[in-house]
Amino acid sequence: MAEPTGPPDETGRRVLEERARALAAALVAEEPVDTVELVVLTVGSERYGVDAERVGEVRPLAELTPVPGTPPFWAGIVNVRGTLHPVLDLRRYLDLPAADGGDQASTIVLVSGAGLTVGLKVEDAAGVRPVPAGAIGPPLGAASEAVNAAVRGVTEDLLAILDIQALLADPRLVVREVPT
Amino acid sequence: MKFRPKILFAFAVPTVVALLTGLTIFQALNQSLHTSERVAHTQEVIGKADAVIRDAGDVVSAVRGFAVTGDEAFLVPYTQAISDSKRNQADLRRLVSDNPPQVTQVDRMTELLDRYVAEVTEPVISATRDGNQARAARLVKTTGRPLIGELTKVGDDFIAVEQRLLDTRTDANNRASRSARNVVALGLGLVVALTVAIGLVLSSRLARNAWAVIGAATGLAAGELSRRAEVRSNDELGQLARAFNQMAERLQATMDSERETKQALEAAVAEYSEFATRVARGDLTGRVSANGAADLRTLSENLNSMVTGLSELSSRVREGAQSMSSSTSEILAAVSQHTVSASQQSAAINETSTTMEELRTAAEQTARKAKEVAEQAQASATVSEEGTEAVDAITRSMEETRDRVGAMAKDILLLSEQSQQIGEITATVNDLADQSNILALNASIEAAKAGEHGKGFAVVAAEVRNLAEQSKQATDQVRAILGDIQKATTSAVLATERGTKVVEESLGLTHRAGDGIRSLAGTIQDAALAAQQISASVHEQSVGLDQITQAVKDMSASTTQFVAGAQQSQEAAEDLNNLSRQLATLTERYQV
Repeated sequence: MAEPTGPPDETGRRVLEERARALAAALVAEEPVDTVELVVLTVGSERYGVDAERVGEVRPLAELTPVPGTPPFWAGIVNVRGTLHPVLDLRRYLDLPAADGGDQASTIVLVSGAGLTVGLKVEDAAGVRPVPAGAIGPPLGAASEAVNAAVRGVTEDLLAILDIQALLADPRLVVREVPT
Repeated sequence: MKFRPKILFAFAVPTVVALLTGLTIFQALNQSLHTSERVAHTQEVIGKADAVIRDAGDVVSAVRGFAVTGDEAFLVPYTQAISDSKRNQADLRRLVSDNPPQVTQVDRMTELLDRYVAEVTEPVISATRDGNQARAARLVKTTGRPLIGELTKVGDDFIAVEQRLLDTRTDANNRASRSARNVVALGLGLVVALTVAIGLVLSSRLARNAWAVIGAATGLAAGELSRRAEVRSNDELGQLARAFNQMAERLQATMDSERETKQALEAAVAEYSEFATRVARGDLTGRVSANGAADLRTLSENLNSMVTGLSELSSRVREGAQSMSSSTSEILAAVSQHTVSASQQSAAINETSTTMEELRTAAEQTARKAKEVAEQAQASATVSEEGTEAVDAITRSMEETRDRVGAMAKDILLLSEQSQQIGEITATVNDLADQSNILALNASIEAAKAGEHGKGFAVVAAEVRNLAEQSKQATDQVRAILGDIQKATTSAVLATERGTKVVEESLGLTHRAGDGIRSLAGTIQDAALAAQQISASVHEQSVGLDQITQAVKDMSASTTQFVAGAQQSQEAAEDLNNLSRQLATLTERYQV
């Protein structure tokens, strides 16, 4: 691409000014936009975002006690500073395939919603990123039923955002074992 | 009467007379000495008696003086006179103690003096001191005078008795002296007369007899064998004369018998002389008649047997000379044969000598070779010893290498353990990084919850997360490097083990090489020893050959001497032949 090396002409000057204005406007225009802070989780080989408002704490997976007689997606319970919390194996719940190296879940993310606080067993919590509320689109809908029920929307860079309120309100989660 | 009694009698008579005279004189002298002693004693007694009387007079005059004058000075001589008188009286008593009447007189004098002192002196002294001089004078006159008079009278009597005694003794002494003088004069005269008379008689008789013997002896010495000594005395001279006469008669008889013997001897000598002349002439047939004395008869028999022996000897010598002649001829032949064989022997010995020389040369060559072999073996032994030392040095350095490789392996193992520890530490750091990461994440979530206010905090949390991430990466790198190190140490351990094994094998090989070199050295040493022994024995052989050569030379010399001796023997045999001929000629002179 051959760029003229001489002094910029009138057209060139105008283009440069427009760029400068656009760059300056971007900084000013961002200020009023409503943003959502998402915590990015790695589940199996996929990544999901969770609203930071719902996240209480991220912990390394330790002292997990399995509870017999529960569906396979319940991994067990953990003791966090004297309080017992159920742990949900998010990959099994979302019916996702395991990553290439097998089940490597090593992190628990405590989330709250629908009057419950549940630990999500995930591969990793990659970090927190702000997403403009306007940039969140509707779910893609091409995924499994469980995923479709749990996903609220998709960001521009295709990060599915889990709706914790809806997920925790899922009646499948409730265990009602009647002793026979 | 013999000489001894005669002479003893001649000396004894005057001696007895002189002895009697001497005894008389001794007795007279002894009496005189005794008398003079007594005289001296008497004179001393008289002196003492006088002194006693004089002391009495002194006492009286002192008392009188004191009585008249009353002067105390008169009492001094008085006291002196009293003490003198006492002393003199004591002396006098001691002197006359052998004569009781005199002792009585002395006691009387003492008594009178004591009475004077008691009855006169003491009252006078007291009266005078009282001033009663008239009484004192009266006492002196009436009482003192008779006392002193008696004392003086007693003393005079004593002295008169002593004086008479002295006169008697002096007379006796004089008489004894006179009789002694007479005895001396008579005795001396008798001794002189006796001595002269006996001497004259004895000497005249002895001289007469001695002269008779001397005259007879002088005659015999001059050859008068019929002369005899005429002595009738019975003493020693008489015996001498009788013995001399017997001797003269025996001498005469001996001279007569000798004369007869001499005549017989002369006749025998004449006969022997004639016989000797015949024998000297060569006539051995004559004999001497055996008669005369026993000695002469023995001589005749001996002469006869001598001549008989001489004739036998002559005939034997003649026969011997003939047989010697034939023997010397045989000796000459034998000596010639010996000379020839000795020459042959000499030639053979010369050949032997040459052969021995060759043998000796060969032995010397052998000795030289053996010596060279011994020297080479010695050099090989030295080289093998050096080889042994080198192998030992190699062994030592190999062992050192082994030890060092072992130490290295230990060091590497230590390094591996330490890297293991580093790995553990790294794991801890990694864990810490994980926890930091999760903490940072929670922090950023809390920051997000805080909204607009938590934005600054979110940046810090992000930075913390970044750091945790970097720590994690760094620990990953460390872990990778540690893995490499562990791999490297493992291979190093394996390599050192292999090295140790190789060194061990090399050490074994070196030991074997050392053993081989050592046994080689031993063999070489043995070879050197054997070579030395060979050299020594060859040397001994050479010495033996020298001795043999010397012996052959000696043999050669003795053979030469033998040849010379054979020639001398030949000459001697010829001389013998000549001698036997001369002997035959000589013996032909004698008629047998």
